[in-house]
Amino acid sequence: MQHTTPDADTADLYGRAVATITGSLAKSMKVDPDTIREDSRLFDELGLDSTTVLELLMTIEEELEMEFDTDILEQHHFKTVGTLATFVQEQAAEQADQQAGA
Amino acid sequence: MTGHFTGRLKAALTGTCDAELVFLGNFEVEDQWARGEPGLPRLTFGSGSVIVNRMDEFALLLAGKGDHVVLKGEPDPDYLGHLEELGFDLPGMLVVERQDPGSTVTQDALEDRPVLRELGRLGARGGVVCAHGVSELEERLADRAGIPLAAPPAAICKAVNSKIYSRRLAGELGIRQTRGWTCASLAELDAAVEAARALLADGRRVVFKDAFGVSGKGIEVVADERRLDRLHRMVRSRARKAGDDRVGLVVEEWVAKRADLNYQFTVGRDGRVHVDFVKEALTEGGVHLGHRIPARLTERQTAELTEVSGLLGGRLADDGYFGVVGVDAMVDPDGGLYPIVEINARHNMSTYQASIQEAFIGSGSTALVRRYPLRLGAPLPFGSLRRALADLLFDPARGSGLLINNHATVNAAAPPGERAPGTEFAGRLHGVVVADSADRTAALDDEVGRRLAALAQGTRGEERG
Repeated sequence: MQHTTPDADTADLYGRAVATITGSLAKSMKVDPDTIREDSRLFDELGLDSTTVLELLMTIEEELEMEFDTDILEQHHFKTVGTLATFVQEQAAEQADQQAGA
Repeated sequence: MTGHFTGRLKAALTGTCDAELVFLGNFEVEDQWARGEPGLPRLTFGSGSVIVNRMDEFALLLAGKGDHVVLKGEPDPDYLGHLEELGFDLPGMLVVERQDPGSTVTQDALEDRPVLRELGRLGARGGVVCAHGVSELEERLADRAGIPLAAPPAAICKAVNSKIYSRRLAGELGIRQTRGWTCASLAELDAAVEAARALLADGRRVVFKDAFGVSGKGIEVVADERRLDRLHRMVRSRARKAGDDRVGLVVEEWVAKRADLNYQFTVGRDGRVHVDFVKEALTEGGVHLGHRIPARLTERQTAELTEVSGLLGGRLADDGYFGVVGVDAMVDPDGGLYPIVEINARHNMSTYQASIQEAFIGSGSTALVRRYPLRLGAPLPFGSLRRALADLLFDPARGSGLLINNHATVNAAAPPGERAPGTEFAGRLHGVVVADSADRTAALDDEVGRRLAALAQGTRGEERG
């Protein structure tokens, strides 16, 4: 069964995505969540690496009940907490459209 | 100083120990092997690959005087001087004119006409290419330049490096391995997921491994059914989009272990197998952090790994492979071995330490092969490192100290051009800490870490000033 949120308010989803990313990174990188900002750089500043990025994506999927198309992920999506949250927002909107059109 | 290992390698690859080799340090060749393979999503971002690509410099220590190394950048002259002082005979160097930090040395060389011409010239007089691992890119380079590869075809190299091959081979040879399942199709994946579900219900954990994952990438540990189902769905969804039912994964029970081991053997063109060494691997989250020499093994464990090396080497030779083979193994909490966790039929980190080990790590020495992460505000020339670490650097007379075996990775991720205020970048210093006891080695390692941290802090301070 596929979980999506077709009626989600996209602005709210952005905020939830930021909170989920921040919470997940704070836990896995063992840092205070208050030190993570929307413009914090995921790899260079927060220490995300290629071994932990899949874990982060799956946590976002679980928390926000959505599914990523991992084949379209690109480096610029992972620049900062904010760019990844924007990508989450876009993916969720796309899935909502697909569901509505189905 | 051309070590015995390099001589043996030449003999294994070419049949003669005085062959002229051209080394190519194309680390993480798995990224090429994985192209088009339906494993876990590959998410290689950040400065990691930029640093890994400069691991090409390791090849300097494997090559001897009459050999050559293709490099992405000129080594720091002070670093070369340091290696010569230690007694290394430096090889000829073919340096590409314009390197792309995101490309491997092979990709850069393919775009560099003078390097291609020189490779062709070396090929015409009998030189052969010895790559870290062989993918279609290395075949294309050899073909375009007109120089043979001293290796089996890329298709064979790729096939024997798959984790599916490792598991099947261990099964066929009756070698102990963790409970697990190879998944080359969606049907096999579905069955593995159900078997994994039973393990989870029993309070155990499982791990999904990409068939061509490397150094902790493409490994996902699963502790609950929700995550199991999510991964299952993710892989199914990718296969559906690709339009076929192929999968490239293994699913295994996650077992307790006391230590990770790496052992290496070399398979000759004639099928003969030579056991090179066993090392204890230092890993964290599946990521290779270094080695401990000597490995803490009993005679019985060593004998078992020697026997397995012979079996594996013979089978790899039957399947058309020759060259260096590194195998990851584990020691369980009771001292029992899992002799095959995965087969890496390519050069390994340890391969590049062979000459250092032969020359400087005697039977009374212990060594830690380390990588020191750095956060820098400005590039760090070798001269600065040398001054900061002066009394800690390896002294052949004393037989102890830090041997630096790669300097290029320190500054690989430095942004080009003028530095913007506040810009920082990640770097990595690779070295081998040698002393006459485990305690002294650990103390030396700590002191190196402290000095490097202070040095790195200084570069960031200069930036702020």
